[in-house]
Amino acid sequence: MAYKKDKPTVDEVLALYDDCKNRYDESGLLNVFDTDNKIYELDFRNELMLPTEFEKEGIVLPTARDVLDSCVDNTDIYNVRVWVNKKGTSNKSDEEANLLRKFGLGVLYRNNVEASISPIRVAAKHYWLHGLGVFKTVWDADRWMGRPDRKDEESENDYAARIDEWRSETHDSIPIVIQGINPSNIMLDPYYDGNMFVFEVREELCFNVKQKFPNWGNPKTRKVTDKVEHISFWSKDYRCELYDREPVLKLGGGVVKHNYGFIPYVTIDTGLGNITNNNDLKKRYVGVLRYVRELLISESRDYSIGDVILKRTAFPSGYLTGPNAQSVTDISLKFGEYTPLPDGVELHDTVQKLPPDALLTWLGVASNYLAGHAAPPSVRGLGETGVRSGADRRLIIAQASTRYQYSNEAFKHGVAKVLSNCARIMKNVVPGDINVWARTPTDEFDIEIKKDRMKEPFTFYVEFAPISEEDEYRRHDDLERLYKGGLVTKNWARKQMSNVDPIAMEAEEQVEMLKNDQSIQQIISQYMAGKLAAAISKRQAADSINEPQPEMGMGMGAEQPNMPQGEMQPGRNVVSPIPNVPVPGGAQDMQNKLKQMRSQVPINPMQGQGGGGNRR
Amino acid sequence: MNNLIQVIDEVVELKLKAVDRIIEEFIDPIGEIGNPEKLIGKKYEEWNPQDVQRLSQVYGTGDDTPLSKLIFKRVYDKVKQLEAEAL
Repeated sequence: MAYKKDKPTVDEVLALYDDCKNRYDESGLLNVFDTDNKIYELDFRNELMLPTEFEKEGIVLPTARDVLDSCVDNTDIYNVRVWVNKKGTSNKSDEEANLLRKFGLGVLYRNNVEASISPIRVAAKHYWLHGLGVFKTVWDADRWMGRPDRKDEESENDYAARIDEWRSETHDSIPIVIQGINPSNIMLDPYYDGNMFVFEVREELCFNVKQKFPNWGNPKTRKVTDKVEHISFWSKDYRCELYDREPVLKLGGGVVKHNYGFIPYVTIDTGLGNITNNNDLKKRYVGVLRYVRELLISESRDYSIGDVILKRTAFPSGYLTGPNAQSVTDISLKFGEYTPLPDGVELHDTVQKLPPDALLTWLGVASNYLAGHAAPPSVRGLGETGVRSGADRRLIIAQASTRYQYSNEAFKHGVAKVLSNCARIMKNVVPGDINVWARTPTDEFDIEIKKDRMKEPFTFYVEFAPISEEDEYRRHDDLERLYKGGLVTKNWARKQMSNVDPIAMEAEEQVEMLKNDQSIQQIISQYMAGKLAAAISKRQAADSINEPQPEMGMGMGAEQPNMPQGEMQPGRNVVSPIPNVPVPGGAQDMQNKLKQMRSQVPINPMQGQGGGGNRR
Repeated sequence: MNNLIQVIDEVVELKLKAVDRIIEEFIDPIGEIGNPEKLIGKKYEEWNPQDVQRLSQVYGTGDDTPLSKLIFKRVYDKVKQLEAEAL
């Protein structure tokens, strides 16, 4: 078998990086990402082009933030539900699918709990801002390159225990980490859309790098307060960590195998861009603010000009005429007071130069364009002009929401892929088993995930519950009608409701039915009645013990006259016959009891009679 | 199907617990008739065979009824006492 030489060297990684960076620089993608950031941060007052004397009075309207945040808020990324399809019809397949489902849900839940902000929310913001959301999934120990290595001959369980101990000492986190990475820090393989390799580039403090990697040579002799460029290279099988282009992983010549079996980055594209014939990255990844940048600047400029003019002309002013005008030093403007003027002096109001209507109209036009492009008023909870009925309003909101429809699909599929990657990390990389737990409206569990019960391929289906209560209500109403009309079954209708677990619901229904079942109630009643009758009978016998006994004559125990011997009387005895047992305290009874107290080991009847062996 | 069996098991267990509790709290106290000597109003030494017969009809004739336990204890104590005197 020929040796497949696919491992790159550090020099090759650096050459790839340089080429990739050139491609990115040529496309200008990182520059437009930077511009997107400036717009979102409202950092464009210097672009309003106001006259120099009014420059400082420019006002940047927060429309860019409103628009983007509306997009993020209208993206379904909350109340996650996870499904895994069964790989067979056996009970084992059912259990495996359920285990994997809980793994997916638990990993998402724990990541959301342990992160200061949900990585899905972070990715959603990048998604709308830059047109690209990026998730990174890693074994947390891989984030900390100083982790203990597995010793020769060390069992997986021992290594897992050692890693757990190390993790608890060094930082508090779960073994599999999902991160939302800023696309500005990522360079996807420009030739295969990130399928062959990915670079992650960041700046780190020189001091921190020295602390983490004492063997790092500091090739650019930086001061401790300087920044160091960290380049992280990931392909399907290998990784390389470079600080100022010097590898810090000393094994394998600086490039090491990571065993993930995939590139641990998942990208989600908005679809607002276009795949051009020359694969221009700048046109490929388009955020919602990209093509309204000028409009946003224009809107703020219109507002700023209006504000400047209004400030200077809105307050009342005037002038005095007449021979004694110079002698008037003060005119009171208080309500209800009149200032006496000298003879011949006349007061004239100045005609106000208020902002022309055209300016305000233009401001309105800019706002409408912006709303139309990204966030119509209805999706921001604002009224729409011309809407007169509830049905009309509903139609308009539904139509406006279609703008966000693809994002829901994109995140469902993207997060499903993230979970699939997490499962592969769990199976192939993380030593030992892990515990996951979660509590959602439909689930509550705390279980250990057994690696050997996870069978590839890992296929997850993810759904995020609708964010609008109104939407949820309408869905339920519709389903109810479909079910009542006989068009669909109860089980199918339940499956359409994301806040209902159809399996759990069916189980609860069965419980309710069994609890109220007539035959079960009857069996229990009979059993209880028997018990009660026995107790009462005993009580009655006890109550009657000191009453005088009936004479034994013609009574129950006596022989009937004219009745042939041995012939049974018709009917039955009222009192049950006395059992044939020894009388308590009698000789036979005592014998029996003493016999029970003696040893149960049988004694050999011949013991002691043999003469003690073969003696002569 | 598995789900259904599990549900049935759970319901049966719940029902049995409820039944046990009712028996323990309400039915068992009814059947409790106390010490045979108190019931018949005489010490064991004063009992005649008819008393024993009547009591056995109330308590039953098993080995672990309060009646048979009491009789055995008394007789056993007496035998021990006789043995001690003989020595």
